[in-house]
Amino acid sequence: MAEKLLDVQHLRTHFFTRAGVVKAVEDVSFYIDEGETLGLVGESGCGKSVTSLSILRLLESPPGKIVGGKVLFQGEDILEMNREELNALRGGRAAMIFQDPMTSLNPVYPIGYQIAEAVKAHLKLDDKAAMNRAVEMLDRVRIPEARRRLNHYPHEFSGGMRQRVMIAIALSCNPQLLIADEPTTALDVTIQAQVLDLMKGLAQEFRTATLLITHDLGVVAGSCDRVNVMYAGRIVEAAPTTTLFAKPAHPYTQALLAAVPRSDTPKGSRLAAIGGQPPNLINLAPGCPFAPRCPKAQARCRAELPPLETVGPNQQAACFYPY
Amino acid sequence: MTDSNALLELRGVKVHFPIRGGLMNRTVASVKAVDGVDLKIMRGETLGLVGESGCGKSTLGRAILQLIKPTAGSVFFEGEDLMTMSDEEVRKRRANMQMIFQDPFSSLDPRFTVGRVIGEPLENYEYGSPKEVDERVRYLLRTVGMSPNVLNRYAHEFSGGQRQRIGVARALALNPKFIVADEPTSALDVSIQAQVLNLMGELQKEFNLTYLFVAHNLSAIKHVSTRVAVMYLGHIAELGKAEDIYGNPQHPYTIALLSASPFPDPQMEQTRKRIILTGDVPSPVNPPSGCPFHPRCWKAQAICREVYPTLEKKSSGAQEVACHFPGA
Repeated sequence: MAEKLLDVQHLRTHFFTRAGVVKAVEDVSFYIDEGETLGLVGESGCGKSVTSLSILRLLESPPGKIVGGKVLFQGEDILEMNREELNALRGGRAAMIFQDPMTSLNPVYPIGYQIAEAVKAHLKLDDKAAMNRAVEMLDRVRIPEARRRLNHYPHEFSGGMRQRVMIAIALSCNPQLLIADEPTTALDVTIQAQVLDLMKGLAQEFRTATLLITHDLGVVAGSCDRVNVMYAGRIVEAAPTTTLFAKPAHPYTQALLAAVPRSDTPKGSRLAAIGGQPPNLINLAPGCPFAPRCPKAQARCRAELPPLETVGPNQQAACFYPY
Repeated sequence: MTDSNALLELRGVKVHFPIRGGLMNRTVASVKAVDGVDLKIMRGETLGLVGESGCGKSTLGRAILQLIKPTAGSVFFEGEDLMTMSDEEVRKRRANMQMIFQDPFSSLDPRFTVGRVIGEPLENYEYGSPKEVDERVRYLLRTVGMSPNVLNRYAHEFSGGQRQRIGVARALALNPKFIVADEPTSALDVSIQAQVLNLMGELQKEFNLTYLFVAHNLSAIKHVSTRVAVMYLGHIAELGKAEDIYGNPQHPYTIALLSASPFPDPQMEQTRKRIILTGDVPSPVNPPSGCPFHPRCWKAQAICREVYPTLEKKSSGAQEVACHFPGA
């Protein structure tokens, strides 16, 4: 494919706070092809959610502001769009689902109305056709007795069911891009498995590209084609999922993988914890942001910022001493 | 008689929460959070208690410490039944039974200094003079890997992992024998989770602690537990050595839970067969008849809808299982 579905180039998002400028996203570049699932992983505060919100320009401003970069969606720069173009894009060609379904469902409207609203706006259907579409979508996300449940309010659904309603709304207009920010973190494992399975099936059926933001390496292993690892506002490693798990290049990725008990970790053995804390994003020291916690750090790492470079087949890492 | 190798023994423990309503604010129904649990916790072991939200695992942990008074049953701690004791007698025993909470942000009083947070249990149990308390607090901080210099700082000045260390230091203050750790790492990032799990393992060896480790994260439970109990809707579905439960799960719920739990291994994730359960966990107000898992179980037969299966050892596995048709 010549043109990438989504091509994020040198994105920079800063928060202007009283304490100083928080560089939440610094020089982040990545792409997603049609039908592909890209994982964006990292720990709290690494900038993964801010990246996803920046893509659809959903950041509250102030304090947040996109200060640089391009977000090309089918060749068009989302950052240059006016309000009308943005409204046509959001919920239409590009949709987003969140960790907590109650943040995007309106508690005072029945869910049928909420799905129909999106469909009417984007697909220009009449009332009856929109309601039929709502039933069809609820069926798709396997909500039993869909037609009867159209008139139910969000609070009448369980957590897993609400998540499905949100997925139904997000997918109701056949988006080409789905951004899912920790979509299953609040769910129990058996329900998480249902939702992930559903998302995978729908992505295959509609060729929807998915940006999956998660902190759970297990979810990444099961759902993503490629993975980007973020640390302190930057992408530190990008690789196909199997490569990343088999041969992580960046010491942070290595540490992250070693910190979770795997099937072959001896029982009760010491886990490789990462010492220290992630850095404060207001006053970042020069050099690699991971250097203070890195077992391999040399003088050069503390002085110079390593660029994200190709280190192996399809694999890039921002490290002077990879592997 | 109770088993002398068991530090704790539960018999028929039930915790029902009344739902009030109607004209006279009478009890109209009850939430059967824990509905008849028999369990032994052996000296020096870590018993992992795993299950999904609402299965009763946290309630069971609290009921053991008598923080929630069980509705029925017995809880023997070193052979003595806590259920028949006066509050004062229970309070004395509680020095030996402590708790580590899930959320280190809400479990530490924001108005207390670290020194007071950790020193409070020592004062409550008249540990000694202020100087002795101060020395003990300093010792505890060093034990959990923190500098005694942080004594006069407040909880909000610390990160999640450090707060959890403070919570661990407080739980250790009175030299307990038994600690209930309720989701101690779920609120933490993975790199910090590892620090806390390592710390808990070291302390267990050093102080010969017995843990009840309550969590929903199956890989963390597998890593730390000697034995594992799987809970579903107020009942224990399966109980046994960690390697038996993970290697040869017997209860269909355990099988489904293990197959649904994501493991950080792409090869395994992409090749294994997942069992996707349909539906949600039923309400503990109106639990299903017979086996509580039968509405979601793919093996359910007529008997499962009628007869509750007792927790016992079956020929297909080394562990105890509450199922009429156990095994793969």
